[in-house]
Amino acid sequence: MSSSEISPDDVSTLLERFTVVPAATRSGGIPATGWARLAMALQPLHGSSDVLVIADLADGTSIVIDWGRRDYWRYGGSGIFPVDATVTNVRIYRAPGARLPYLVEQPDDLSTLLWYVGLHAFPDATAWWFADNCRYQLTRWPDLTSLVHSPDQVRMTALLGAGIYTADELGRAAGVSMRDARTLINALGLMGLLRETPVLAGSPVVQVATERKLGLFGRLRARLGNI
Amino acid sequence: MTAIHRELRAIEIGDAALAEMRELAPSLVFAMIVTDDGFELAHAPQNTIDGGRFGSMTSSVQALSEAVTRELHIGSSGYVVIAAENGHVLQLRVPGHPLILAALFDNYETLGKALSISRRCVEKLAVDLPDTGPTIHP
Amino acid sequence: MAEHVILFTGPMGAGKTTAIQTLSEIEMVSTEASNTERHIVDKATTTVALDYGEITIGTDEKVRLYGVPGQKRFDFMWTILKERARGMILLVNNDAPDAIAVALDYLDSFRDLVESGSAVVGVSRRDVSRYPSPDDYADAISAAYPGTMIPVFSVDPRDAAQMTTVLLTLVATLESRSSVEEVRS
Repeated sequence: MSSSEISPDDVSTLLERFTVVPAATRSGGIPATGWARLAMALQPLHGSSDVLVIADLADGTSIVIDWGRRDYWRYGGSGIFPVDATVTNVRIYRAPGARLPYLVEQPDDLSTLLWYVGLHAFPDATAWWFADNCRYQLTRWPDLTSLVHSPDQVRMTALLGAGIYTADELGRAAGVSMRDARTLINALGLMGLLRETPVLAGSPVVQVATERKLGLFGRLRARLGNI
Repeated sequence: MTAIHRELRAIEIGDAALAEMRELAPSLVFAMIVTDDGFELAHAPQNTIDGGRFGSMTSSVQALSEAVTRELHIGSSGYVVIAAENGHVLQLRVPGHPLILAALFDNYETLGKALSISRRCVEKLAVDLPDTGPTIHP
Repeated sequence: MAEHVILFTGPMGAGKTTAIQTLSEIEMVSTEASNTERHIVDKATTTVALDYGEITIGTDEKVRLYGVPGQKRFDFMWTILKERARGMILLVNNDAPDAIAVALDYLDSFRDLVESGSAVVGVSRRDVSRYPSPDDYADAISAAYPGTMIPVFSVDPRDAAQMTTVLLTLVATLESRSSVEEVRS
């Protein structure tokens, strides 16, 4: 991931008008201060263009996101994203109708940020923007080779591409913990790659073969080692 | 550097060699000289088989046969025969050049004679064809 | 002996031979000939029949990797090999002019595999040419093949981890589809 000479202050003087996104809460709970805060600010932006986001972290890093170009870059900080971040501020700049100038020469791909934030934002829950009791289905594959991923995530993504699952059903179908299934669903959701469908009362649960034979995927994965 | 199959002089030599083959073997139905990757230098007689496809297939068959001889460690490839009910195809490399001769004989010709004529053709080509060097494009 | 045949397709120079070399456990069987078309693609040699590599999974199980020649004049080899293939990996180079049109053209030659969702696309040389993006390819492929969802990944055919992900993804999509069909029946 790159750092850049263009500071958030430079960006602020370019665009001037911004709104501060307050930290989200979950039904009367305490406001999100970690990656969840950034995730909740970004998720509604799908479909927008000409939006720029600046998020400040407690460790001095600022993350600048050119949402329309699907780029981002970091300014300041230690160079590595913490697993548990404290997001102190999120500002959204809108410049409707104006094309933002190219701000840095070699930005990083926004997908890598959304993947990372999505995996870490809600470790013990499905992301707050999802309604309760939903099943999920993939609408597009992420560019997995450009993301740090595991073979289990490959398998789960493939399952979501072929069927429709709750987090629990996905975990059982893939032979992983529900936590691993959930964090993947959160990441794909933040990247805008999932469709959710409410589970209707009385609808059949997705049957998962109780005795899962080790399929070709499992045998091949064992042979090829970690990726 | 001009590819050999586009060199005027090489084409003339190829045409002449195939014409001589036809004189020696009335059983020759069709013959073609192609580059290693399947481009045609010459073919005879004119207006018969679709040389483009046959040339590519010749290249594939040659490469596969050489893969077999390498795999089995039996030395370099000599010739390839595809024997069918109504004719047989013979393929040989032109020594010293990235070219292959492919010739279709009808079944009135013995394999031995077909091979002998084909060998004579490629040996003559090996001597007559120019080495690499720039010449005129057709 | 259980064998799973995976086909590597795509234009000349996209990295099919390299990709198979990267994945194969055996020394790859190749059928390279001198390239007469260096003005089109600047490579010394080109595949004229097939590339063959393999991965042995167990005593009686192999994944066979076949690479076809990229040029259309060898499409008889495509016909021969796609009969045996369970899935396909299409490699395209992103710095070619009209790369998406090239990808769609190759997918069209292997329609059956694409329509049954048995394909993954690898886009090479995105370090040289960042656009089009994998999403751009995915949009075009979805438009041409409604109802499919073909994974599109950035790849370096020399990178073992990336090529492993491509292969595992293809296998995972094949298995996920068949297990869903089992559940439904």
